[in-house]
Amino acid sequence: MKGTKSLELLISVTLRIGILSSVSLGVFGAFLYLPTSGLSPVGFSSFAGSHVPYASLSRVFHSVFYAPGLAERGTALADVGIILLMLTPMSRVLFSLVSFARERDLLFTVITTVVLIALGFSVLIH
Amino acid sequence: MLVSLLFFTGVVLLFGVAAGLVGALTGLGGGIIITPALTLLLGVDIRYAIGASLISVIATSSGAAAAYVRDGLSNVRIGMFLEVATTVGAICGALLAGKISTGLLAVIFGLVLLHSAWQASHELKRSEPVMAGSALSRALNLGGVFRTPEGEQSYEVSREGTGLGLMYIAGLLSGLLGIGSGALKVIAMDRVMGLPFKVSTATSSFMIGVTAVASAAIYFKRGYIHPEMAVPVMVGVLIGSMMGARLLPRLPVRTLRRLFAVIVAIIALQMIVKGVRGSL
Repeated sequence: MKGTKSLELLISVTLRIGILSSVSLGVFGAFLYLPTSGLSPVGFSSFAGSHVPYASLSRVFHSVFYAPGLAERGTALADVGIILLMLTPMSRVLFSLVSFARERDLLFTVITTVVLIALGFSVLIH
Repeated sequence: MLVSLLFFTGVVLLFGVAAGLVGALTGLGGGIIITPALTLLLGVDIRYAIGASLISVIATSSGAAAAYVRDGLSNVRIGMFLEVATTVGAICGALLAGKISTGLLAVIFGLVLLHSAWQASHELKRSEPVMAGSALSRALNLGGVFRTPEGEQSYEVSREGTGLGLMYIAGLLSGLLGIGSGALKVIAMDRVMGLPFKVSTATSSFMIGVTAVASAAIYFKRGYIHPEMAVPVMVGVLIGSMMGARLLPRLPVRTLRRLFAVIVAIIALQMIVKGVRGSL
């Protein structure tokens, strides 16, 4: 089906853009935090809990612009890259939804919408 | 083990590449490599390892997808159809996590996987038999065509009901145990639903990403995903999975099955050990 081929291409291109952006932000962020904290020992053996800058979307974005040090900003920027990565599978589901809708495939449009709603639910609940 | 952040980043990056490569070839998430590397080798807290592992699953899925889609190996219709069950299961699992004892569950899961790994490694026929599709699968147009070195091959789907049930369980386990459930998905598609092995692995790869987002959103808010760990995982895995996805069409199915069986056996043993020790 010609429609499916162009959709597949669109998904592929979007994924690549998403991946490229995630990696760029991650690497750029790392270049900001590594020079500062690169040689300090890592303390990841203790769990810091959830009241940390990287556990909330609003705190991450706030840190990108307002954090005091370059290292904190770098970590926050890298985190934006991670968040973007987490969105890539959602974009695939969204494009599939559009494709099924255009093919007028009612059942699959509904199926895909259910998946999207379930995903949305997981993002919004606590 | 006390290491510098720089060293840590480099090591994790390398493990990420390996994880992505294996993940794209087997339809699994790469957590099998990332989690032990982080916890056993680098002494990281299990919760951060779980977070990093979820990121590795998403990265494997999206990286491989950016490279596979054009061979027709990944079947979006089947994937989406089954994904309803998996996503619901994953949400239930993530919500239940911490509230029920997972030790026994891990052991049972491990044993089931071991049995499946044994079965998967014993597929001796050179060409795969094409099972006749069910009426439902034809009505929903779930079958497909994909390119092999021998030319185009078509396939049908059967036993979707059982497939859906298995997917719900896969999602539940994924949310509960914080692991990718790719193994169960590939097994369900390959053994139960009659899909060709490469289609099962490619479709599983698509699905595990979607399932992982459901769990990842919840774990993100709990602070399990630390950027300094997640970033090298993400970058390494993306590199590895894009390479793996390009390799997939060229490798013989028997080699892939053996690789799959070995990895699943390792996952199974890990699960059993964790379940018995009670440390999850």
